[in-house]
Amino acid sequence: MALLFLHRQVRSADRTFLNLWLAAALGLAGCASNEGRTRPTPAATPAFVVSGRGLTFPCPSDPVHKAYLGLPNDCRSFEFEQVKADILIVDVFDMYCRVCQYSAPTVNEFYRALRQSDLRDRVKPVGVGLGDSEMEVDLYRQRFKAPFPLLPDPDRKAGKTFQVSKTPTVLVLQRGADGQFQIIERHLGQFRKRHITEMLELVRSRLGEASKKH
Amino acid sequence: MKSPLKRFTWTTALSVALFRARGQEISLLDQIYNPGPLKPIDSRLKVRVGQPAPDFDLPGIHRRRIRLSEFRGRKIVVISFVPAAWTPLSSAQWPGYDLAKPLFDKYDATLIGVSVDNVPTLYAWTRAMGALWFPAASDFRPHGRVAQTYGVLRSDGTAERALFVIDKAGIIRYIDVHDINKRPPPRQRRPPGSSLSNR
Repeated sequence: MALLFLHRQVRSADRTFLNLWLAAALGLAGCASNEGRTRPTPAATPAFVVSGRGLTFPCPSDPVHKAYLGLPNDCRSFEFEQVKADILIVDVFDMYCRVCQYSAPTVNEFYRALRQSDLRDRVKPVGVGLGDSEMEVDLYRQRFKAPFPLLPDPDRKAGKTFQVSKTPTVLVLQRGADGQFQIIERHLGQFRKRHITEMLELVRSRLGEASKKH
Repeated sequence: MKSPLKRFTWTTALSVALFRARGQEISLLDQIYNPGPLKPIDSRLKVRVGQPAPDFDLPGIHRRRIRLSEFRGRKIVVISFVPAAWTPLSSAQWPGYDLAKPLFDKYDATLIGVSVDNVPTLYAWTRAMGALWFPAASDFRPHGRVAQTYGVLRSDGTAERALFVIDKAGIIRYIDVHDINKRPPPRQRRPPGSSLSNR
C-alpha cells in the first residue's frame, strides 16, 4: 500500500525512475532466501508439521484461477482450507532465485500432468512467491507462463507458517480428517523432470492411504 | 491385509527414499563462502543526486568494453554494484534483474552490473548464475577505481551493494547504498528522481 501511495504522489516525470527503482530495489528483496538453495534435502518429514490455518492470500483476479481453486467470484482473500482439493502442491519460489527460474517449466509440466490425470480434481498445484510482491509475482508469471495461480507472500507469512526459508521448495499438503491441510512432504532444490513421476507416485500413495482409512 | 502401522512405515520409507534422492544435487552457487555479519556500510559516498555521473570504461565479460557515456541520450542506466562475485546475497540479485528485463524495456532503460572481480572470475560467476541480458563489467584494475570514484569501495576491497539511476542526460537521479548484509524492506524506501538518497 505504501508503495502504491508513493507511486501516486510522484510526479509523472519521476515515475519512470520510481518504476526502475522499484524493479532494482525490490531486486534485493528476494536474494536472502536463495543461498544454499539446493542443499541436500533433509530427511523427509512425514511428521505432520503444521497447518496453514489463519494464513490468507489475496484471491486471484483471474476467474479461471478462482474456479480452479473452487473460490467464489466475489472472493477477496482466502485460506488454503477453502481450496477444493485433497492435496495441495505448493511451489514456493522467489523471482530472484535462478534455480526457481530453472524449475518453473518443470513445475508447469507437473501441473499439466496432473490436469490430464484422474487426480485433476484432487491434487492442485499453486505457487507462493516467498518475499515477492504482486509486481514481482506478475513478472515471474509472465516470463514462465505459469498456468496455475501464483500468490504473493511479500511479508513471508506463508514462509514462516510453513517453515520455509530457502527456495525453491515444493510442499505437499494433505487435508486431514479435521479438514485442515498439513505438510506431509517437502522438497528443497531444483524440481526436475524425474520428480514429476516421483511426486505423482507419492500423491497417489498418500491418497490411497487416505481412502483406505476412510 | 496390511496393518495401519505397516502402511505408515511403507509410506514413510518411500517418502524418505524419494526425497533423499532428490537432495543430492549441490550447485556451485551453494559453495558460497559466508563471511558472517559485515559492517553495514563501509565507505563514504562521493557523488550526489543531481550531479553528472562519473563516466567509466570497463572490460566486460563478453570481450567488449562497457562505457557509461555510450548510453547518454539513448537509455536510462541503472548501475548495480555488488560486493564481489561468489558472495552471499549477490548470486540471487542479478537473476531477478534478468527476469525484470520487460520492465527495463518498457522505460527505455538498461542495467550495468559492476563487480571488483577480474573478468575470468566474473565470467565464471555469471555463467553459474545463468545468462544475463545486461552487461557485467569488471572494476578490477586499478582495483575498484570506479567504485572508489562513486564512493562505494569498502575498506576490504569489495564494493557496497549499491544502485545508481542515471537519466539520459547523464545525471544521477537516485542513489541507494544498502546494508550489505540484508535486504531493506521496500516500504521504507523513498522515491528516486527527488533529492532524496539513502546516504
